[in-house]
Amino acid sequence: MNHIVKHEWKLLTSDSTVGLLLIIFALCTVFAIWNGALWVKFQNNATANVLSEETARIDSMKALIVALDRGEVTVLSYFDPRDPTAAGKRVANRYALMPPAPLAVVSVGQSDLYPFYLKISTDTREAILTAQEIENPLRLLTGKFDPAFILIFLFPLLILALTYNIPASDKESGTLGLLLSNPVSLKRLVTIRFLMRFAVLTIGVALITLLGILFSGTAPLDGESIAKLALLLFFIVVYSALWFSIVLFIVSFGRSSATNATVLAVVWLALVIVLPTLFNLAAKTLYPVPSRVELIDAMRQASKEASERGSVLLARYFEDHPDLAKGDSIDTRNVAAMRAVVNEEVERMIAPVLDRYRNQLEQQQSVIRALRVLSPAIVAQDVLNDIAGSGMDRYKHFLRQVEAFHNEWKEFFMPRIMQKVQFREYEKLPEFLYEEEPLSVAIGRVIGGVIKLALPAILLLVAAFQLYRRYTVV
Amino acid sequence: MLTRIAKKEFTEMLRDGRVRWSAAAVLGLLVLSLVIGLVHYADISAQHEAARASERQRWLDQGNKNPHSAAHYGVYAFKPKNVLSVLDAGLDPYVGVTVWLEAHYQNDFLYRPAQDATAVQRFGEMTAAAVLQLLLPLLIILLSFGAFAAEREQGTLRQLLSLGVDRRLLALGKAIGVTSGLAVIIVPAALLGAAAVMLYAGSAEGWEGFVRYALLVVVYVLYFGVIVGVALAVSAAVRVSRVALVVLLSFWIANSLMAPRLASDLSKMLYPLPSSIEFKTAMKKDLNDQRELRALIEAKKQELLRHYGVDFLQALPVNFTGFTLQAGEEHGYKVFDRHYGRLFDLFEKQMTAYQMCGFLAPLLPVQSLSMGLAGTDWHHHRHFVRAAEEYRRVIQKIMNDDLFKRGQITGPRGGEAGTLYMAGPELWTKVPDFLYEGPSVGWVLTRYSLSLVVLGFWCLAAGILAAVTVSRMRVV
Repeated sequence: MNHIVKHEWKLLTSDSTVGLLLIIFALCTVFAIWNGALWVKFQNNATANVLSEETARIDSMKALIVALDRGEVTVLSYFDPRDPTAAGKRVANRYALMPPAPLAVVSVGQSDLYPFYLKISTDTREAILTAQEIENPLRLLTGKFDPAFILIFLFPLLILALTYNIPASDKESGTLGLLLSNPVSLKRLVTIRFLMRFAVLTIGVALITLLGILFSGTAPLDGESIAKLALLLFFIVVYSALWFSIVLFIVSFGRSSATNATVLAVVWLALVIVLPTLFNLAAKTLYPVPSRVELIDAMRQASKEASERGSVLLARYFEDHPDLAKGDSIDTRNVAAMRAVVNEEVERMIAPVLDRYRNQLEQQQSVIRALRVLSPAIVAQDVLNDIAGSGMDRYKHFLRQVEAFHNEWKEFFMPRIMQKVQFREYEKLPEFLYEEEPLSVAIGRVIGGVIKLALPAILLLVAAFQLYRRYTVV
Repeated sequence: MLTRIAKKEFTEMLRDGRVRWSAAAVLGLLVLSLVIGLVHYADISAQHEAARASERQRWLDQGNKNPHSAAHYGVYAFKPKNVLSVLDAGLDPYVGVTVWLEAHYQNDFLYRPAQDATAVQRFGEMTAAAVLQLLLPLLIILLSFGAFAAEREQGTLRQLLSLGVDRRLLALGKAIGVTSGLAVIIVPAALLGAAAVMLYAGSAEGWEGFVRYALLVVVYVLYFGVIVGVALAVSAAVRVSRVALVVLLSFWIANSLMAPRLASDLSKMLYPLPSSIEFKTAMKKDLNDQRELRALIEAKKQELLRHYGVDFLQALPVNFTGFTLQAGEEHGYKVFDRHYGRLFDLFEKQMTAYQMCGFLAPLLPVQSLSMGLAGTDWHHHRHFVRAAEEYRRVIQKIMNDDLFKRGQITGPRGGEAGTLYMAGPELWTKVPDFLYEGPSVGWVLTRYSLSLVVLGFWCLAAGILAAVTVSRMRVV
């Protein structure tokens, strides 16, 4: 037993290609973490810029009010900070923003595709949510060289490269028979050799990744970070175990090492590239999301119809809110009020259209969720995005808060617009405070994902050991 | 002799069950992606056409209103989809599909389709391009890694060369053999693709589309040639076939998996982009800097007052608001052109850097050319962005000129000059329909001269590499 371990260790350390591969892999990981950290810094920087723009703008509006009151300057009514319509729509806007999560460095995920700060106004929700961060579309297409890419795509390849010829190369060089003439069973020999490599690779990769993240300076050392680092470690161990069990399973058929290499390359390609793209195609074909041009069409039509009914809508609004009506007559010349109620009506009219987009995407998501057990890469993507806080679930959590804040914003301005009163309460403007998703929810999702990786690993191991009974030594 | 060598390789391949299976899988994926892509394309095109028509109708039916209100109402432009996007979706999922053309602002394109997809979208799209760029090179590697190495292991290489067969002829024969194996997949797929293009392409893009398609085929065939060359070279240079396989697989991983991401991140480090908040703030600052604009308006005002011999604006036979609005627009045009121009040029610098990395990975020029020919690259997008913006400017000009010429119409409230003037359908019809025409093939090729050079370099390099290694290869 000791002999085998020692011998195996010698084999590993004396093989120069092993060393070379490990060094390349380590360099890639370090670069990826650095690259991920750059993206986190970009986000933090943009966040700081957003906040300073907001503060500077609101301060300048307060100063402008003083100057306007004194009659020192004049300004178009669209930009008059005392006009509640202008304030709510153009000049007093606040941002809703979601800061990067503590381990954001792990995966860029969807954070380059969806905006992480949104300018809130009295406009329709659609108008607010369509904002986007600047990014070269080519870079969205290629994806980023981040730790998630290393772990999902390259780590399995490293495992395959260092294990595909166990024990076939021994068999090919004729040493397997010699080895087994010693008092050791094939099962034991193979198990020890695999376990050795599993331990070395997994510990090595986990160490580089975790230390890299700690040294990147983007992860604060608080409870949440530590919990998520532990989850990351857990993921690395299980994902590694899954790929080792895939190799063990394939090599247990006893083919030549060249055949094993070919089969493993094809399996990797299928699990990591072909199946995810095929599942995406299936989800899109089963539940196609219509082009957004249909939404624009619906919105334009709705706003046309609602505008035609403007005065009726306004009258109805005052019937519903008698406290806001001034006297008996409705001021139909209050264009801003008219526009505000028309906006509300448009939102109501297009709600079903928007639901269709949302539902189709939800359906696609459930197709992927059902199929993902077949592709460890998809599960790994979900898990890493959850750990990094760059996945869809955290973003939806943000959007729910944005919607609530948008409603609060409108409720704050609506009465003031309706009554056409001067607006000076810049101290009372609603403020957005992002509330982080409860840690337990994210942990639950990650563990659910990791279990989906562990189950096939166990099945494959059991099957592989059954097959080893029939393994021929020569 | 040559045909005999090629025939032997070809027959060997056909006999190999694994080759038959993988060829069938690749062909299946090609056909599947093509069929589903076409259905999807027909859907999206119909949606776009319907939206475009009703948007135009809404513009014409907007009733009587002030021209400037109409300019604010504006028009949405929808980016049409190119038929060839079925073969290579390129950047289409990552650029917006529509833009609102309104007064005063050049708006951003909205709704990137990838935002309406699951995160799995980021693994890539199952299109012909993905199959041809990723899977086929792998198939070539699996078909040819043993070309020389395996013969050497079996000892047949010595035998073969002792017959006096020229090494280069042997290599050429092997290359032809592998290529004809590939042809079994590519020829039917290419014919099917051609039929689809002919069937779906509108009359406008008929021939144009066909030329683009033919060039796409050429680009991919050259790419496969490069891979065959590299594979044969490695197989000749490396002693054991197992090592040849590992080296070639590493090449595949570096070329198709790592290179695109590394090149893309490298290009960002060379040319960092501003965040949207920085970009918007800087642009707003320039828009608000109206000293020049105010001077221009003041000068025009004095000129008009002098010309008509009146003392105040309301007495003019023309509506001065029309002039100030147009002058404001033109001030905006300069600012937008400068800021968007700078941003878009940064994108293009990043893309040039990306293509330069192609000297290290042949996939990069092929990927760029493929998107370019399919009309799904950045240049086509920018071309549309420009056309839409030009159209917006046409609308502004027509609206403001009309306002200017219609003279004073002031109501009982006095108010801002010209606000009570109402234009009708005859003005709306003066704005032509927005019919977008995409750029020509020649235009595309001039934009990809670098990629063409890089691809040419690879063809040459792979050819020379194969020739040199084969003539120097060890026989035992």
